[in-house]
Amino acid sequence: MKGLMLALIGLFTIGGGSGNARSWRELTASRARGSADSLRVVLRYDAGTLTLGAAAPPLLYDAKARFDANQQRISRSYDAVSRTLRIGLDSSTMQTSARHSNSKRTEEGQLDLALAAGIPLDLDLDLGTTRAKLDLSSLWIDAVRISSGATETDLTFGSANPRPMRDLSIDAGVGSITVHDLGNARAQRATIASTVGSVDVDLGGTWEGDMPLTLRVVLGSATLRIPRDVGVSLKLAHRIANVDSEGFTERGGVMYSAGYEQAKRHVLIDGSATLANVEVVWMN
Amino acid sequence: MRAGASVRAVPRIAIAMLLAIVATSRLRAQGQSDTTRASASSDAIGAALDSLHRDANGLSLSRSALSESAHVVEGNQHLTGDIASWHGPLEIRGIVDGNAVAIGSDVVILPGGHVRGDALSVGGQVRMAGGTVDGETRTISAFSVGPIAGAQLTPAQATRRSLSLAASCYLILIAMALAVAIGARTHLETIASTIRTDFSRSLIFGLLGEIATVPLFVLSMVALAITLVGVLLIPFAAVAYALATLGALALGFLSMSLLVGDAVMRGESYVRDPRPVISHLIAGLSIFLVLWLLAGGAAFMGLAGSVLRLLAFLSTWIAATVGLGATIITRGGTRAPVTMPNVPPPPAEEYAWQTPTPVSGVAAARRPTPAPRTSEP
Repeated sequence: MKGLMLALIGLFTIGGGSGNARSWRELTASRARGSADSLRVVLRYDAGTLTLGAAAPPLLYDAKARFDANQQRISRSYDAVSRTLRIGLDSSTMQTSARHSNSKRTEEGQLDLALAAGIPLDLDLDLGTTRAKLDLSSLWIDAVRISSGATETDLTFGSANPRPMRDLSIDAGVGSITVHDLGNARAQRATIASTVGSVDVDLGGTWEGDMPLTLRVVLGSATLRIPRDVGVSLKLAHRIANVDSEGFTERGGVMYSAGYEQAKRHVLIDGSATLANVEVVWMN
Repeated sequence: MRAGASVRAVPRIAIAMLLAIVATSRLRAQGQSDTTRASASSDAIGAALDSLHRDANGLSLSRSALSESAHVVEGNQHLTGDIASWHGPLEIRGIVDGNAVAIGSDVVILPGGHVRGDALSVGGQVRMAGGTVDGETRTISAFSVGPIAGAQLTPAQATRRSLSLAASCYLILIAMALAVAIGARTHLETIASTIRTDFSRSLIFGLLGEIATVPLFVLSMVALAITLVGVLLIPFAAVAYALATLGALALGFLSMSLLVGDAVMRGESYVRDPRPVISHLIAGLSIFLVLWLLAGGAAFMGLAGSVLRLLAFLSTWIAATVGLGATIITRGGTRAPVTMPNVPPPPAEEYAWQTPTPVSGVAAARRPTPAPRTSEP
């Protein structure tokens, strides 16, 4: 019996060692902006850490990736006619992704993508099991759509968008979303949805007029950080949810913050909250 | 004695089987790698160009475009196609209409150098030293071609992984078995006796339990979410629920393993009372281990391997399901199973055993009597 146990432990060790074999690769890819006057980015990133920011001139894009060639494939292509950059990192299986997310963070894959400032960008980001830090400061974002599985997403609009953004859409599965200075996005339409997890949206920044915001939260919490001078209208369908509407008054099924009519800028929040807690935090 | 000897032989047979399986898989893997090495060394440049073509970040390059050492495109040169160097730097001072590629070295774009395609270095850098590149500037540290390990394992890898998984599960279960045998022996034996006396009911309860696991989880989460205080408890409740479910499954499976161990070691259990729970548990778990080792060892055998895996899975699943059912019935072994009451036989009539009497009774016989005496004269 003792011999059998030793054999099993040996087998366990051999198998365990082979399962964790890594084969790291590094890829850098950049392109000069040239005559490109816009850029569409289609990004699929399954597992690892993603950062997004502004590229140094005169580059159109600058990508640096580190990935495990035994478990992942990364590919990129650029279509000069449609001005579309496609970057994809595919993990072999979700099990692999989970193993990556549970293993040492220092050994996980990484993609750092920098994009040209000064031209309109249309971003289509499909994220899997990732930690994403998206700093869109100093970029001209025309539209951004983020769809994620299990992520920790941090989105920052550090400076005002040169032109109003056509569409901002974040659809998160499980995880946390933090948006800093959403007001700087100057979004004509913004949608933030979270299925399980937390949403923290800071509406600070430079913006005027009305900002429509659709919020859909299921099984989780949403915190809306709103500057004091902003008038808020809240029309949330809540099912088994708690909406912190202290200081709000209801008129025609819509909750209005105190001094709504006098405010020079407004945020119009609609959507739904199911099994969730929605909290409004006023910022000075 | 014979049963005991056969049980003692089980570990030896298992060790021999393990060694044979590992040796077979190693030989197969070694054979494959030798073949690959031989073919790769026969034409390294050809292989590199093939890898460059198949790499998602590579490109197609003809052999004629490649210089087998360092190469310089002079300022007065204008190349209409691609240019590449093999283990030597590629310096561009002139114009290249195609791509500029260095395998195992750097691409250097010097003043006056103009690459209209891509500049690519494999294992080196692309250095912009005053020239221009119209296409993409790209570096890859090494080729990444071939099957993705996680998606498509080689037979040797698949075998090793399966065996390792079976061995690790067995070791974990052994540790759990020791803990349960020491801390919850009576619970384990109660569940095991329930399985023995009420197998079909345990199976039905186990199936129902498995079906109800997810709906019950959702219901309990919804119930907690209704109240504000409950919302805060959701993460803890979710973890507790998962632990309870897994614990019930493990306890049930161990009870079933105990029964299997009883069956294997019955020659000894007749002699010793109370039975040695730990050794019976280990014997029972070892039977399941052997099934999984066979299935894992046959991972490279195609259909036969699949059939063995299916058999191992079915036997384990049935054992776990029945065990779960018995765990539910006995509330984790804390209650004795509800069984049909023993109805005592009706009390026998006193002395009935002495003269069995037919139900219909016995017809009375008339006693013969003498004829009446007539009057005497």
